[in-house]
Amino acid sequence: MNLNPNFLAAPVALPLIFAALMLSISRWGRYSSLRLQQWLTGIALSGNLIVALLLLAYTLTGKRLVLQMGAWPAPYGITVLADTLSALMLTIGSILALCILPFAVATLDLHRERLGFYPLMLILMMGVNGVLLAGDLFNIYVFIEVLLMASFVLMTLGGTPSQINGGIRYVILNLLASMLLLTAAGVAYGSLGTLNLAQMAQRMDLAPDSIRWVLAGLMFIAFGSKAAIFPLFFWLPASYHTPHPAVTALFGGLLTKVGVYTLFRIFPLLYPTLLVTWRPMFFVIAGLTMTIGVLGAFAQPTIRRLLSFHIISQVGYMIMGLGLATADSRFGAGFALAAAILFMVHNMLVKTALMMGGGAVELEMGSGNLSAIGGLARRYPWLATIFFIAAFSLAGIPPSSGFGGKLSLLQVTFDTHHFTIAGVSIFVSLLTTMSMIRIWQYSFWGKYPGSRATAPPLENSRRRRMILAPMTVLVALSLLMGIFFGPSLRLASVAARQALDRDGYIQAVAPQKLVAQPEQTAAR
Amino acid sequence: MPSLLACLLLLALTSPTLWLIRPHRFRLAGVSAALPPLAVTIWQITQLGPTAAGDFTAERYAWAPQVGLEIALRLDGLALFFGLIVTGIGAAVAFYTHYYFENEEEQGRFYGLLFLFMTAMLGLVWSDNLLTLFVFWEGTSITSYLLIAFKYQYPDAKEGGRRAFIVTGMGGLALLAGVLLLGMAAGDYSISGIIATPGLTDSPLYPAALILVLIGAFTKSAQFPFHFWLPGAMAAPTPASAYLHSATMVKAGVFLLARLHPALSGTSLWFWTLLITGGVTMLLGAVSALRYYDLKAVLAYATVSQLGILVMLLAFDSSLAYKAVIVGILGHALYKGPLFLIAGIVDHATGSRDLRRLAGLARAMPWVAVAAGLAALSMAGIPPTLGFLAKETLLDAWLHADNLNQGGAMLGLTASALTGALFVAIALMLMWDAFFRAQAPADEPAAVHHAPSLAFTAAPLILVLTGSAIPFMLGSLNKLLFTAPVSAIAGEPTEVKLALWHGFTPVLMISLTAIAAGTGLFFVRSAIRKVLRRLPAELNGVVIFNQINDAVYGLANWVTRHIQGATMSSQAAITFTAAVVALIAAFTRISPATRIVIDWSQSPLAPETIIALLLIMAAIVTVRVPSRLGAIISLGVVGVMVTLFFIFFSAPDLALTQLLIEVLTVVLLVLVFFRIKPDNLPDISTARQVRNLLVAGSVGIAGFMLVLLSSGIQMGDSISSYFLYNAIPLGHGANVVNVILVDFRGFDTLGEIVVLATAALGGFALLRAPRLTSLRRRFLARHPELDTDTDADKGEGRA
Repeated sequence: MNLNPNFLAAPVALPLIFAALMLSISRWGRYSSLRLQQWLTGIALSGNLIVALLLLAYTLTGKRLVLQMGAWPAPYGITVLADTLSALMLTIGSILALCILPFAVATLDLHRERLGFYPLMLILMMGVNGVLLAGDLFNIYVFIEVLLMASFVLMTLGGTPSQINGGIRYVILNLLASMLLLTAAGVAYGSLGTLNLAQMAQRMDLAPDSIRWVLAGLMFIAFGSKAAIFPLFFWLPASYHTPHPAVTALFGGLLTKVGVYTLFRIFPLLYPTLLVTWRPMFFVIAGLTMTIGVLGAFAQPTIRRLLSFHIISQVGYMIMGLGLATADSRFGAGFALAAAILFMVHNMLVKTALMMGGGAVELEMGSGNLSAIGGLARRYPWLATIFFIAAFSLAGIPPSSGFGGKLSLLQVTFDTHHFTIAGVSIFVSLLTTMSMIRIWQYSFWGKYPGSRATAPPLENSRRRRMILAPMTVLVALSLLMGIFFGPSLRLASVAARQALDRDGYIQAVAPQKLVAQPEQTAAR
Repeated sequence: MPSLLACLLLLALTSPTLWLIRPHRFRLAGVSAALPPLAVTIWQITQLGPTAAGDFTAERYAWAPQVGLEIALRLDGLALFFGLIVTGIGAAVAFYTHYYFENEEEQGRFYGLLFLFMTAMLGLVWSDNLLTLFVFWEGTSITSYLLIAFKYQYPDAKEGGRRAFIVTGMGGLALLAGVLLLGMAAGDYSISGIIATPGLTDSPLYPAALILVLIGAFTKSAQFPFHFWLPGAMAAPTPASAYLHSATMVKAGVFLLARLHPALSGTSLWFWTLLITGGVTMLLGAVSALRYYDLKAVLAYATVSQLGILVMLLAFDSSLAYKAVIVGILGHALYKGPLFLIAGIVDHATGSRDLRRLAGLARAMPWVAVAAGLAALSMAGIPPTLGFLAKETLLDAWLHADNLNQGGAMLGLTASALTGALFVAIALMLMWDAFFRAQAPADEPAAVHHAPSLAFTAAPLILVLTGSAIPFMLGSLNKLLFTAPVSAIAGEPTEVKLALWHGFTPVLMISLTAIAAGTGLFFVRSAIRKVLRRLPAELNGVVIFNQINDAVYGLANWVTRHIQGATMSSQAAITFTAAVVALIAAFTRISPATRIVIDWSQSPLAPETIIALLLIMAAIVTVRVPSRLGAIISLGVVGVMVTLFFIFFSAPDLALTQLLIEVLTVVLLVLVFFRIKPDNLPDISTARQVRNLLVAGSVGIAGFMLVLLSSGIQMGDSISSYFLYNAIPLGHGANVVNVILVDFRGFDTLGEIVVLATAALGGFALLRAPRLTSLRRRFLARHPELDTDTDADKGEGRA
């Protein structure tokens, strides 16, 4: 199969064009433009998904698709690149957005819709897609800014005091992290003379330890903040419960994982030796992230706050996998990274479904407070079933995707004799189960206390379908991932091997330009 | 032909079918539900011959071969023995359930969960791969959770289910870790492979693996100190209690120990852990059973005791003990299961399970009394029942325990005989109090208002009759049913010759003594109960469980309060500190080759020094000045000083841009803050000021060092020369910066434009936001229909 490299522009261009189009028609009429916007968003996201699937099919053969923006040769222009890891993330991201769209249509209030929810959602997707495809450090920074700004506006959309409070923490702490990333870009440009990731990788091998450490450290903090690792996660629980549930659902599955993705991308490519040297640090941070995250979840009174802390806890598992990315085990090289990628994909699906379920409960009951809700299993058995499967998939109960992710991560951790972190992760798994039991029993069992919502969305059969159908899709995907765990693992292994294959990456970006001194050839 | 998989699929598919067809409307639902497990039972019976001959049916299905995960099933003696119990009793329970739930709509859901459990349980006992086993193991835990909390409207059911799930879930995770360790030690997850691996007990991983596996087995099989979840599980509907929490699931731990016995036993760690845990559980359960009035609670503790016996027996390395285990499991399944079912019938008929309120049920329910009587005889170990056979073999195993010295064996024998006596007392108590005495002691005796139909009674009756028949068929069953599982536990072919009558042996004497002693205990049961009820509550595992539970929540609250409750400036300080730590770590890596050399000969020019000093002063003023406007203006001065630096380093376009931004920032901030009264900034405590100073100072120093660190190093040529050369020929622009922005790196610029546009959108949205001003509130009071805030928002806002 052959794919035109210009396809790589689509995941950025498509949402942008549609967002611009929607903004220009947003003042039409009172309702008609909204209906049109909903359809346009659906079309844009479907297009996105198709492109992502094409890219995935292409990259799964082991190839990378590279586009030099504006035909400026690497490293002078901006390189855009898709490999299996980025194509996989693109696909899952598009699926998530496509699933959240009907949920948003069914639950959003007119006020938020008219303030531009749909174009903002597309801009957010543009930012996410841009980060996933970027082959240039500064370009990553730019698209992180795009998604940060779009997410900030989405977060404060509606403008309630709690949203503003949470939003300010969100944006300030994230801007701090971005500033550190910018510093890293500056240092990289100053010392390595380039921002192209492939060329950075090439020159990093020759760079002194001090430069490598300083760049890796700054990037770990910057991207780690986005991924919400300990102790840089404060922005997340401060803000995620404040916006409309549709927004939380969109963020919960997607944003932190973009941060994790950048770590998965940057560390094997630029700092493979540090993955070994810094392994103890990765483990300490992974362990603390899982533990503090899950303990935080225990202390929360509302569904969405509780689920937000779980996001953090689960990121810890991914960092644990990253720490082992280059470790050799009897499962083959790169298996830990494959397991971590699988875990991440699982987490994106399940977390989004849970956030949608939690949001639906909150909207239905008029409150997300665990002590003010209950008895929903009898009223909405399908919602209960879906939520149950998702919750226990998160807790890693077989045959869900969560079990596969947990099992493979544990296996490689055991196999490389890292028993302490393995023990911590098992303990956290127990706490996760306890916490899922808590949320399940409070929301779905017990007595129905009566709803305080003015317009409970689940009571309307059309809106109920629009909420439950996408959740069902996500949970079904999670189950399929668990049932077809072998093939899923193979796919993740392709992604991991590609992410670890530095030479392949460097060659794909600029086979001849980077070998000799490029300046001479260029200055014709 | 994939027979084993077909059996599992048959049971699995029965679950949604029965769930959805609303079986409470069909008269024949009970029979139909019993058919699938019955079919599987019959198929298994046809396999008895081949299995006894060593010809095992085995199937493997790949799942994730990369990690050794597969569905591997193998019908060896032990698997077949347990499989028969699972589906045989399963068929009876499935039949019974229909009558237990009568016309209740919940029946369908119960059937659905019951068959899911049955599938998982059958898969568990048929597994030939530890990972397969684990998958089914978790399946039984989660279905058990849902069945215990089946009546989730009641707090008892919810709490009992939660406790059971957390305890068994913890055990499951321990088991997973143990399984992974075993897999590492043996290089294989296949059970037959692990059993065939010699010297597994010498592996350095063995002690850890064993302890983890034991935690898994002990939690599942309700061994002390994890036993407390089982009595709590009695909140489940009675068919579930009979099936899961007496006949099958709680035996999963025992099954696992029997399964891995050839590979893991034989060490003193194995022997003593099993012996002591099992022994303590055995006595504790039997004694506790006398404490309660609730029929199901009594039966639950008796079950705990029986599970203790089985675990204790598995400590030994003798074929006598293995025989005792197998007979014990079968006997227990065939008397305790029916007793639970009978408890359900009694509950149904009288509306009570309280021994203080029950009396004389034999008259109203003769067939139930017959079934109960036969079961109780077996429980008490009266010859010629299966229970008697089980007790005989148990005592015999003690008499021939060669791992122990004389004293130890005598102690064990006494304890076992005492447990036997307690069982006699319990059986007598159940029969006499509920069925035969004339008058109940309570003020409101429960009357039979609703005599059970014969169909309702049929299931326990059939099970009990099966159990009673077995001792008389030992001749053929020895070879067909008992030899293969005993050999599987032993790990080598072992001949089994069970018989009812051995003559007047010492074992028979002990047995008879125990029966006599038990009868004595029966008569003083009230006194025993009074003593037991005075014991402190701390002895009860539930209390400890709740304390641990509360401690976890307390810790969580503490941690969260200290971490998430911090102010934003503290949280920002942590990010800064992390950056400083990273930089310090990098500085430690400076090698002689990359040492920082500062060339002091190029002393700073005077104007730059002055600017730097002004900059520092303005920065100090910014943080020290007490008014907002003052701070904004001095911040502007800082910006202008930075701009001057740009001019000195010949970057006029940058300087121009920077100046514009500085001016705009000051103007905007002044406009915003002008409206905030009073102008004074809030006071900051000295401690926080010191902290801020430290953080800011270290960030400054680290930043300075960073510049030094990176400026001296240049790896390869910078790409900037390309831009300089090619701006005009290829970019057609003389201003290199502009060409970079709009052409070379135009993609970045596109992104930045989107950022700005989005920021504008955000500003627009915030301006249009429903501000909670008094004006707006008054407006909304008059026009509530225009309130666009969702209710969720309002709730959050108040929180």
